Amino acid sequence: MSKVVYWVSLSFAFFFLAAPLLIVLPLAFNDSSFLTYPMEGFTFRWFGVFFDTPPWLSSLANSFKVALGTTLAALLIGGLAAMGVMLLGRWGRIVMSALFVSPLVIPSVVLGVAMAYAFGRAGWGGGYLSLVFAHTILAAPLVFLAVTTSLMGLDPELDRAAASMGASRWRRFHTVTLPLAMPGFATGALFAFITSFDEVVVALFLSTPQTQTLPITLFSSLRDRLEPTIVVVALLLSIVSCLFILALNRLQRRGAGR
Amino acid sequence: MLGHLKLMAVSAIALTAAVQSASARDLVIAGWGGNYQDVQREVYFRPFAADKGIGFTEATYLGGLVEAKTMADTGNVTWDLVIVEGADLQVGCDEGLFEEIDWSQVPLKDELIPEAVQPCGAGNVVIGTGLAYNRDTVGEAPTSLADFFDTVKWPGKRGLRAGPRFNLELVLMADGVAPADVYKVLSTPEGLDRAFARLAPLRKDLQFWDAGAQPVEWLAANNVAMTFSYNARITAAKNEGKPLEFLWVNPIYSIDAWAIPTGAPNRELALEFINYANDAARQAAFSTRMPYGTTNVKAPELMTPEAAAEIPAGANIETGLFFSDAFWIDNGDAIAERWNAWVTQ
Amino acid sequence: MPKLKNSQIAALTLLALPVLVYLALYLAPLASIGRLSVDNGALSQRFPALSARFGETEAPDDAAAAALLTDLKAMARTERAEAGRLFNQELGGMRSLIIDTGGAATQIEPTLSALTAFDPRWGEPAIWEVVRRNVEPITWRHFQRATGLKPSAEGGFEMSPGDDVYLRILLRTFVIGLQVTALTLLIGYPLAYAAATGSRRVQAVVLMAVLLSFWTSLLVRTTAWVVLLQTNGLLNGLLMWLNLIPEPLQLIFNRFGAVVAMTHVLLPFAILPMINVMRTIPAAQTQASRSLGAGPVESFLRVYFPQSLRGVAVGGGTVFILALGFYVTPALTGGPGDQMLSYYIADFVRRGLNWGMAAVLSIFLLVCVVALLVSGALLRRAFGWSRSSAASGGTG
Repeated sequence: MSKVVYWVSLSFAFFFLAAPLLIVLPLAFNDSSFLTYPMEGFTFRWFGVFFDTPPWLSSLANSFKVALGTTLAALLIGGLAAMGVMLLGRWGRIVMSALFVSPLVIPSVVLGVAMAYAFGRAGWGGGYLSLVFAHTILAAPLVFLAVTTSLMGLDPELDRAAASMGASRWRRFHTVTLPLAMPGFATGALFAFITSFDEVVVALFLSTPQTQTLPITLFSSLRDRLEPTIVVVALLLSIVSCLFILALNRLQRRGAGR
Repeated sequence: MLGHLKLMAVSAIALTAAVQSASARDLVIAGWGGNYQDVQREVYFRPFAADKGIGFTEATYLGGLVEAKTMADTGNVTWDLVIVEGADLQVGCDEGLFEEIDWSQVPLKDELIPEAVQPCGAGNVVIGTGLAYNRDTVGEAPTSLADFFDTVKWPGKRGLRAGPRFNLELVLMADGVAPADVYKVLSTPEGLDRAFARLAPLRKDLQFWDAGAQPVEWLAANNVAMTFSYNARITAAKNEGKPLEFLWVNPIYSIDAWAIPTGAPNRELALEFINYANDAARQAAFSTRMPYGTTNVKAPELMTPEAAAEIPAGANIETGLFFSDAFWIDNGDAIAERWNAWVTQ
Repeated sequence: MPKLKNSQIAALTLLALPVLVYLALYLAPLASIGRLSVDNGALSQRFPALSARFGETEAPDDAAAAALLTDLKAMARTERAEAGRLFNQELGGMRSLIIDTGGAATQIEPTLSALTAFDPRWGEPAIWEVVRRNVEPITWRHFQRATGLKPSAEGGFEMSPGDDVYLRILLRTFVIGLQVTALTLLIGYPLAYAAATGSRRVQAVVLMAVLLSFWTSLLVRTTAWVVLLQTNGLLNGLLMWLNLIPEPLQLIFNRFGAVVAMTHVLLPFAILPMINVMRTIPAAQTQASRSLGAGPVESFLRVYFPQSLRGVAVGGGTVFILALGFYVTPALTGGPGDQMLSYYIADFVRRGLNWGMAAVLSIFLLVCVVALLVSGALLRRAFGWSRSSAASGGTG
């Protein structure tokens, strides 16, 4: 009896978790302008619509630009922060870690309002710059966490051994610490990229027609009309997520295999 | 070490590249989305851009002055043209958010209805707003605005434009107020109470739309049983085979006008576009596919009688009401506050 | 120990840039919200003479009228229009009053009677009250409007019925947050349990599904629900095909749609912490309890479940905090009665051009989130739970 309850609840939960995307995404290939089953035929034509109709393609390009800029900036900021925090005492570590991680719990709408106002007044409004700035703040905490995790896993003996052989602090840092923390950076880079690539709310406040990102175009299309192109975009974004997970998986396996 | 430096250098370069914004940019046009903007693109944007040998970028606009105000405050003017409602046009013009139009540069001015010639804007279309429904799912077709409120005979959600504008006027007309008296009644506290009281039984059934394409989608998907909507979006969808109908009883008609945000980099081009968009033949072509009214008086003659019969003009607006910008400019904030409080009760 | 000193220098060097960037791009913007919530500079700067006059006495007299006209004359036409619009947010009709008076300011004699002769409204104390309140550099009107508390004549605060709109919305935000949290825990628990204790295959499949969901864009998952929940959509189609319902149900634009979609979006945030905790519960304990004669249900309830509660608490807390800030999902799947605080914050910026109200509501939301985080930390201490499985990931 308890087994039945377990399997029924598990099946329901699993279905609820996995089914919506599995059901909806195939409609990207449906040869009908209605998003319903049964499918009327298999077609790639909605992909054609995606590539031909502005602003889909340009917003995809914008998303890549912003996500790349964000990844690099977040790696720098989050990475430096993680390495710096490791060198602090207990309380310094707690306080600074809290600061560096805190953007994760601030509601995005609040960040959006704050940044739209402050960046606008600073004269950065509208361009890629403001989007990269905003996304860097959202992504840096993830890089920070990823790098901190990998640094914490480091064997302090290695550093001590290098020191005992007379290696300078800086030399030890870039020959011992940094290479070992590399998986953390790589994971952080993935986190940062996907965070920026998928971000909607803050971008809603900051993007302009010239810098409009893919999620923003998707959001306004969702309010505009439900057409299969929307599912095409959802599918493309899901594929990016899958690639991301594959990359993450490989990274972790390499880390574990070392 | 070198690799690390390289990474930083690459990041610096990539950041700079990402930051560079286009210096000479396309003409940027903001419209109301959906099939309205689709037809604008084909009748106006594309041919105009091709004529001038320029590119154009489109933006979606949901009403209000936020974007124009931000552009004016920051000096980063990202739009060259936007099609706005009358009240926003006037407020924006008064506050210097839109460029004053040099009407001497618009040769077609003399062909326009007088309401279209504004200090900061050029009226381009006449919009009809009223009751729309899906004839396949509605059952018996509604015949008056009052039917909107009959949830016994027509159960289901009701779509309304977000905010009080248009809605309160339609509610009062549904309650029997003559179009000519609507703003008189609405100006009194009792009239306002009356409108809210009439709407009160519907409160749980309402769904508000921001974009004009939404009510069309909702009707087609049967997400709402009836909705207030813009006439041409409904008719255009109907012409594409969707089972939608617009009811020409007590519609509200209003004017959408092209305006140029102050400091727009392409303002000369934008002014040329304004003249271009007021050409009789082009307006006729637009209104044939998207049956909003024309502001060029010669345009209706160029349309087929069947197409002309679908626009908010003549018999269609005999029981209609001309939307008052002045009323909403003065009273909009107070009423909107009450509206929000009422919606969230 | 000289080593300490060195490492401190190194830490400072490394931290300088991140701290500066956080200050400029994060803390300063957040701080500007505080300023925005009380800032009245847009009006007070335009009325220096009147502001000075009201500093001496609040009576609307000839001097006040003269000061008002002086200020109006000094303004450009567009500035008067903006000032009028801001006054109009307080009292309907003020915009045209300011614009008309300003346009004729040079012809009006600087006396109260001349001003009243130009427009009788200047004879009303209520108008002057609005003007006086809004030419001060600091304003509490946004806070008053957001809380519904207005200063009463007796010096305290009073609240008239219907003024508590935003408090109700705050309450609604909490209610929806709780509904979503309860559902994610209910649905997430069996998944987490399977991912922690199931066979190797079950573990792999469940974990993969959870991670995929976690890293799939919130917007994509919301899109899926919008497509599913349409009245002519897939779910209704399925239910009708199965003959479970005679006609389509209203599934979208109501609480059901909003809560279901939010539950789906937030599910991984509940599951992952639960998995982390459940994996630390030794299987031997349950087996031991079974061997001592307890049934499977009893041993689960008495041995396993209490130990998994820490994960439930962390997962639930994470989901609740994230849910409070949700905007996109309820905006696309909910009705007007299901919009949360974030929606109104965005709305005030988008539609109302009212940064002050957006700032005040942002502060509400921030205070709630911080209070929850602090109480969460205190709870964790009280129960002696170690810090682990912290929340991460995006909010929406």
